[in-house]
Amino acid sequence: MKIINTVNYKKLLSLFLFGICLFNGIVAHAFQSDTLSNKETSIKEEIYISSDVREELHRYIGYEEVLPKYISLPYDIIMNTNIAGPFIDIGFFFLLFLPILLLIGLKNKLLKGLIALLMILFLIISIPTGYRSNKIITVDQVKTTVSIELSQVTFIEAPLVYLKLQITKLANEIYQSIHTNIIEVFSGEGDSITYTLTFLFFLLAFFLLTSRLKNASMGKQVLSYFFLMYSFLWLLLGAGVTWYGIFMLPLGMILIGVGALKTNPQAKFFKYTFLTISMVWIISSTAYRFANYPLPLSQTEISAGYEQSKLNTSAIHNGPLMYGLGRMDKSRLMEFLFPQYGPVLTEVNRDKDALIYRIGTYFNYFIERNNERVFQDNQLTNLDRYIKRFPNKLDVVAEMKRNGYGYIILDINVASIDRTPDASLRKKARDLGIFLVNNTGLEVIGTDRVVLNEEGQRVYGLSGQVVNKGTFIAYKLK
Amino acid sequence: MIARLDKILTIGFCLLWAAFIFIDYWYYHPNYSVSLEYFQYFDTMLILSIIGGAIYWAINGEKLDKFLNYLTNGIGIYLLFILISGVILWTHYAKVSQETLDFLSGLTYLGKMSYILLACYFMIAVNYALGDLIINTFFDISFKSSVERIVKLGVGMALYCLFFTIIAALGLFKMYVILPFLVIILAIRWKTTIAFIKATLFKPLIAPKGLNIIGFVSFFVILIFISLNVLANVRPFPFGFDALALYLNVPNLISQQGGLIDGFSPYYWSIFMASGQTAFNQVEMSIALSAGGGVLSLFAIYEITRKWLAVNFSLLIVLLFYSLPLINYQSFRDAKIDLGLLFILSTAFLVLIRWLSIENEDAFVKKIIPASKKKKKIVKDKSKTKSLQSEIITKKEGFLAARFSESNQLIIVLGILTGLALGIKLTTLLFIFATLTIFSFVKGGTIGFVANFALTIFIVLIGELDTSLRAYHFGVANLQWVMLLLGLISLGYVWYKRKEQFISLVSIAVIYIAFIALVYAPWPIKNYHETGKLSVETITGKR
Repeated sequence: MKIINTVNYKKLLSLFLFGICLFNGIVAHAFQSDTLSNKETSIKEEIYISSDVREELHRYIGYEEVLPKYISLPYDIIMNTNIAGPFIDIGFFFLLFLPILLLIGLKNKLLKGLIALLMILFLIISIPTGYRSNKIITVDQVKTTVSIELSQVTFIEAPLVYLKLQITKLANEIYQSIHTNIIEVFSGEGDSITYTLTFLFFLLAFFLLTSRLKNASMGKQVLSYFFLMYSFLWLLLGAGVTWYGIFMLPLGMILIGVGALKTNPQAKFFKYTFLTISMVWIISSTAYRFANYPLPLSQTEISAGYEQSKLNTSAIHNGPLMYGLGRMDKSRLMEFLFPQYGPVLTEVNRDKDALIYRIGTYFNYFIERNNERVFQDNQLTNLDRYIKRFPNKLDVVAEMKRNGYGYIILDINVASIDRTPDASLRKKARDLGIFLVNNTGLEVIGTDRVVLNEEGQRVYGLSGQVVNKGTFIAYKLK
Repeated sequence: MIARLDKILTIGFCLLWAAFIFIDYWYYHPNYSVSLEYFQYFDTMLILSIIGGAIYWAINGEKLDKFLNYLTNGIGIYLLFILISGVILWTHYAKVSQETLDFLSGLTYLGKMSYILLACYFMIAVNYALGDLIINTFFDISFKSSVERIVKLGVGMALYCLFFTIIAALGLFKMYVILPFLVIILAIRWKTTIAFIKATLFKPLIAPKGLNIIGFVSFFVILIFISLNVLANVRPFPFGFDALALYLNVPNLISQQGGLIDGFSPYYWSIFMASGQTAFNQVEMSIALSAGGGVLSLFAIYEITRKWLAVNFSLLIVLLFYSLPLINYQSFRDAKIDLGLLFILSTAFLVLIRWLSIENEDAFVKKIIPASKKKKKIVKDKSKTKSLQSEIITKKEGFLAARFSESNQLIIVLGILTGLALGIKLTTLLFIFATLTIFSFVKGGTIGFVANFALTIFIVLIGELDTSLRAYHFGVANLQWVMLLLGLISLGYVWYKRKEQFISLVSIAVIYIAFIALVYAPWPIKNYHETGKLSVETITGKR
C-alpha cells in the first residue's frame, strides 16, 4: 500500500478538521436561533449568578460580544483598553514587532498577502472594540464619541491623538458592517463559533509557522511552538489576566529579539529599528519608573493645588524612606500608610471570636487569624443577597449577628472597579449605601474620611462637609 | 522588479503598522508623556551617567585590567549596586526634604537594605546547597556551569519547599527550627557552600571585555531598576491589595501560627517566603523574597536568550523584560508570587532546552547554511566538544544514572521543577500542556504537535478548565469529542509511522507527569485532610 506522504496528509488533515469544525459551527448555529432565548437564559443564570466573577475577573477580558472579545484580546492587553494601570502594562513590543516576525523572510507572496490582510482585519476589529471598552460605551456610540473627541483636538495641537482618532473613525466605519453582518448574526454574549474559529486559527498559525521555520534550527522551532501553544492556552484559560501567563512575556521578548537581531545580516534596517525603538522604550520606562507610575492629574486636582511635578517626585515612597532612615518607627509608619486603621484594628483584634465581614480595604493583613475570622465579599454578592432577603435593615443585622459577624469593614470606593455595561456593581453599592445610612443596628467605629466639624476643624468622621472622601468605614454590629 | 516591490511593500507595511501601534499605545498611556514632561531626576541621571561612563572607560581601557576581575565579581557588582542606590537615595531625599541627607541616616538605610539582601543571599545559598546535594547524589547530567547553578537552585527550592511544608504540617514552623536547619545545611555542605560563595562573590560573573556599549548600558540600567525596587522594599508592611489580602498575608499567617493554614490554593512560594520571615523575624524578608524571584528570573532568562543571541543583545532583552511596568509593579508595589513562579518556569525551560540539545545535537545550529556564507566545516569531536554549552561540568555518578539515560534524567528534573511551579500557582498548567506538546513535536513531528494540541483541548474542555468563561461558549459538548477524535487519529498516525518514538514519547510523558505529581502531592493530601473529599476541586485547592 502506498504510504500517504506527510505533506499531503497534513493538507488532508487540515481539510478534515476544517470541515468538521465548519459543520459543527453550522449545525450549532442552526440550532442557536431556535434555542437562543434558552442560551441567553443559560448565560444569564451562569454568569450573573456568579456576578463577582463577571465583575472582578471578566473586566480584564472585556464585556463585548464573544467573538471580538477573543480576537481583540492581544490588542486589549497591550493597549490596556479594558483595564488601565501599570500593574497590567506590558509595553508595546509584542504587537509592534509582529509583522517583522511574521512577514520578513517569508518568500510566498500569496501567503504574505494573506497574513497582512488578516493583520489588518485584526486591527479593524480591535481598534473600535478597544476604544469602546476604554470609554465604556456601546458599539453604536463609538462613532459619536470619536467625533466629539476629534472636535476637541486639532492636528497642530496634538498630531498623534488626532491621527489615532482618525484611524479609529475609519476602522469603526468598516467595523460597523462587520458587526452588523457577522458578529450580530453569528455571535453575541455567547456563541457556538468562537471556540471553533479560535482552534482553526491556531492550527492555521501553526502550519504557517512550520512553513516559515522549516529551515530554522530545532531550538528555534521549539521556542516558537512553545510560545504559540503557551500563549494560546493563556488566551483560552487566562481570562485576559496577563500575569496568569507570565512566562509568555520573557519568551515573547526573546522571540522578538531573535527575529529582529538575527535576521538576514542584510536586513540591518530591522536591527537598527529595533535598537532605536528599544532606546525610546528604555528612556520612557525609566522615567515612568522614577516617577513611581503616576497618573496625570485631572483639571480638578490641579485647580485644588496638586502639582504634577511634586507627584512625579516619588522614586522612593515617603513611608519606606522615613522608616529606612530611622526617622519613623513601625507604629508611625502604620498610621502614615494606613491612617485610622489603628483604632479599628485594636477593637476587632480584641474581640477575637467575632467574625469580620470585609468588603475591599487593606485590613485583612492586620487582622489576627484573618484566615478564620474574615469573610471577603469584594463584589457585594452575598451582602446583596442578605439585603434583598431581609427588606428591614435591622433584620439583616440580626441575621449577620446570628451567623457570628461582629463587624463590617468596607471600601468606600468598592464600585470603582465596575466596568460592566449594566453597572451591576454600582447598583449593588447603591443598595449597600441605603442599607448603611441611618441604620441603628450599626455603630461606626472608624473611618479615614476627613470632614470639617462645627468649629471648622478637619477631623475624621462622617458628619460635616467632606474634605477628603477617604477609603474605608468600619462598623460594629450592635 | 517584483522582488524589489515586494520588499518595499513589506517594509512599508511593517513601518506603518509599527507607527500606528506606537501612536495607539501612547494614546492609551498618557502616563509616559507626563513622566517625561515632568521628569524630576535629571541630576540623578547625570551622576549615574558619569559613574557608568567611568566604569565603561575602565572596562575598555587597559590601565585597570588587573582590577577588572574585582569590578565584575559579585562583590564588585554589589558595591556598584550600593553606589547606585546611594545616589538615588541622596538625590531623592534632597528633592523631597529640601535638605541634604546626613551620612549616618543614609548609611542606616543602605545598611538595612544590605542586611535584608545578605539574609536573602544566605537563603539562596542554602537552597543551592540542597540542590547540589540532590543533583550530585541522584543525577548524572551536565549543563554549562552558569546554567547548572540556576538548575541546582531551582531543584534545591523544590526540596526546601517540600521539607518545610512537612515541617509546617507538623506545626513546627518556628524560628528555632528553621534557622538552625539553614545553618546545618550550609555546614554539612560546606564545600559546596564555599564553592558557591567563591563563584558568586569572588569570581567574575560577566566577561567585561565582551561588553560593548549596548551590553554595558543594559546591565547598568538593570541595576538601576533593581536599586529602585530594593530601596522601595525597606518597610515592615506590604503595600498593594493582593499582597495584603493574599500573597503576603499567607506567609504572615504561616509565620504567626507556626504551621500550615487551612484553605487557599497551593502555596509553596508562600512557605518559602514565610521561612525567611520566620527565620529572621522580619516581614521585609517576605517582601524581598517575593521580589527576589524577579531578580533570579533575570539570570534564567539571560541564559535562555544566550542560546540564540550574544551577550550584549541578551542583556538588552533582559533589560527590556525587567523594565516592563507589570514586572516592576510586582517587584515593589503589589507583591505576588508570580515572579517566583517565573524563576522556576524559566529554570524548567532551561532544562527543556538542555533535553532538546541531547535529543537533537543540531538543535541550536541553523539547518541550512547558504553556499555563499559557508564557513570552514567544523569537525565535531565529541570528546572535545565545545559548542554553545561551553564549560560543561565533568559528569559525576548518580543513583539514577544506571537506571535512566541522561535524557530521561533531565525529564525527571523538569518534572521536579514543574511540580514545584504547580505547587506555587495552578497557572503552571499552561506550561505543562505546552511542554507535553513540545515532547510530542520532538518525537512525532508536526502531526505529533497536532495530536497533543487536540488532546490538550479535549482535556481543557472536558475538565472545564475554562470554567470562568465556559458559559459564553455553546456547542462545547460536540467540540470536545471532535478534538478527541482528531487527537486520537493523529496520535494513531504517529504510532503507525514512528513506533519507537511514540513509545519514547509515552515514557517521557509518564516520567514527567509522575514527578510533577510527586512534588505537588502535599497539596491534594492537605486538601483531602481538610475536606475529607477527593475531587478535582480538592486536588487543585479550589474547593
